[in-house]
Amino acid sequence: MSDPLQTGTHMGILAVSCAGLFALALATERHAEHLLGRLPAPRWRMLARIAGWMLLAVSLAWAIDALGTGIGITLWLGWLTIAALTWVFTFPQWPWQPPARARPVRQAIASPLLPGGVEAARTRRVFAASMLFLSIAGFSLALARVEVQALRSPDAIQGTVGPWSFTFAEADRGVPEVMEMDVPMKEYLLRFCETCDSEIRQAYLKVNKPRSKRAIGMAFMGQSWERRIEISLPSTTGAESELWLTVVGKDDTLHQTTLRMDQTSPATVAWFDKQRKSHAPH
Amino acid sequence: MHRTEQMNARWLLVFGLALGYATVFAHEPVARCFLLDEVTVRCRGATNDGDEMPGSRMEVIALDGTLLLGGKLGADSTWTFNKPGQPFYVLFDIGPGLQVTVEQEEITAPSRGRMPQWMRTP
Repeated sequence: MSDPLQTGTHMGILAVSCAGLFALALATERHAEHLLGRLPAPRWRMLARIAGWMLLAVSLAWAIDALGTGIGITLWLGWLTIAALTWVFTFPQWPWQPPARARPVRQAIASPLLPGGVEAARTRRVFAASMLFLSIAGFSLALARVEVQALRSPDAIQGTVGPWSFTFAEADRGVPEVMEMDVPMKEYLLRFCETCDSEIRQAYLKVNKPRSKRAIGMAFMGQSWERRIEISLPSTTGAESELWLTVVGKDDTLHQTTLRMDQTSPATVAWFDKQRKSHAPH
Repeated sequence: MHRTEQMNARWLLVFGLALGYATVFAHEPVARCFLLDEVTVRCRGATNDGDEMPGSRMEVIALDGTLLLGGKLGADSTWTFNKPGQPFYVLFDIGPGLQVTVEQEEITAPSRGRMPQWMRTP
């Protein structure tokens, strides 16, 4: 894995795919004549067909071996498409093609077109174009909605607790999720500095100051590098509410720090204000 | 053979992670307490995805740390107790790192239009 891009592999797969598809073209009556200027013997065409499929198999095997099964097959299909399109646009410009023949047969087919034929063709074209446009629009929308990793976003909060520095962020910037018994819940992410991480046993989080060493809140879970938590938010949550982060080191030391709710979760604070306003006694 | 074992280990890891995430995201304890009347409090404990937890322990603790009351959730996942005279909070602790506290100022009478079902039973 010294070359993570593996440019040589990709170009190789493309080249072998091109060769395979060219051999398959030679195996057909129509393209063989077009490419060679004459029709080769059936024996040669059979040979070209075998060689073509073998070359495609080789490029597939190469892709799977170099890139893994899933990625390999997918990228092979991609390169195969590009190889096929290359030939599709090359063949009309092929310099050694035989002179064009008069084709009365074609014209005979074209003339008895029904009056509705042109209309139907246009409908089909409009349909195909709109499908193409829809898929482009769909992919653009999906791409636009991909969220930046919360812990790397500029909104993430940098802080220290005891001797350790950390990054803290909401999993999403939206309003809390209302769950069982209308309890609003919010998910947070926490990451300690690389050297700090190995010194930490467990981290806990709750809204409002812990009343005792027993009531320090929910524990973060998940892999140490991306600690996650989902906590319930009390109905009294407001801008001045504090999130209390309690961290216990492997040496049993306990450190605490606070984060203001209006800094960590502005959308949540606004949501609580709105809830209180709409449910206030009239 | 070695490669197969490695694959198995990898699948086990994937499976374990999936399982781990399922527990992370779906079984946080939640608790709500309301005043049943002037002197009685009723609390209900559950998981955030709606599983009831009859038999789980709930505690009422004074602000100085003394345990005032303790009890188990009934069949309907609720627990009713007399409001202590001194300031307190309710702790619903169902396992290591799985807990939620309800502060006294959150314990109010439920608004009439939004009275939950579990507050209506006597």
